[in-house]
Amino acid sequence: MIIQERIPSSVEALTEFIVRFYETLKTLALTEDDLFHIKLSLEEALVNAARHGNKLNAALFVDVSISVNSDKIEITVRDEGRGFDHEHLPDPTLAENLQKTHGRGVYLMRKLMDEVRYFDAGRAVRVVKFFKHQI
Amino acid sequence: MSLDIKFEKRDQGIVVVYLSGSLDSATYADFEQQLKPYIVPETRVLMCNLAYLQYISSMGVSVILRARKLVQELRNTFMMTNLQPQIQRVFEIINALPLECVFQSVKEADKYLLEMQRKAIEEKGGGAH
Repeated sequence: MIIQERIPSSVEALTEFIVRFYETLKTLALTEDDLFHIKLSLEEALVNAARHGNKLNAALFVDVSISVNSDKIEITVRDEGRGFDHEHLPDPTLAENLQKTHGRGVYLMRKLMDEVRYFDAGRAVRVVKFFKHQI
Repeated sequence: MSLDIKFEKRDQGIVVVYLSGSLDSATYADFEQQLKPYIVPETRVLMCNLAYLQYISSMGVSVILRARKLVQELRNTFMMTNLQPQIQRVFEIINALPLECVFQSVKEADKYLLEMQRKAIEEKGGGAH
């Protein structure tokens, strides 16, 4: 299965895509954990792209490309923003950051997915999850 | 991705929030807005019952952490009960699950509150002598 979409940078448009894709994902024989982790990571990647990358500018788009085969899912999300320094993000689990109320999305993706790789100066991210059981 | 929010006002300044569904980028702002009137000095205890919360994203976590911070700044008590395993896991990953405010069940949380009340009454009684 391959999905490619260009989504406007609005919470409503992203939500509509996530809901629609999640319904498709549920038809695959994935574990509850895999479903949860993929949905969460997809949302984090899309929201970061629209909010931080495109600054919710309605004229800018988020491109998402998803491929699913029997043993893994690969999601690539790209925005039209200026990129960011993904190598020096603060660790949200450190004592000095525990009280902060933001900055956990990328950390969650890195913990829940098997591969998370930024490229194009942080304007694009590719996340990969290997399924617990082949589908 | 919808979120159902219900508030229950109990005696002695206890407010219980029941969340059902998905606390995410589409629903967090509405939750934060509805929660705001309850984050006041009069709310001595704010208890979030997450028994029917099926999904949470980092935006959802943030709104809960903001609420906890504000409640604690008022020197009041913030509690979470009945976290589903997948929700608990998200809080654990980001090291934001302080044991003193998380309870397995409402019964366990109520027991803790009763104990708090008993101690407060004892302290008041002690102060009068």
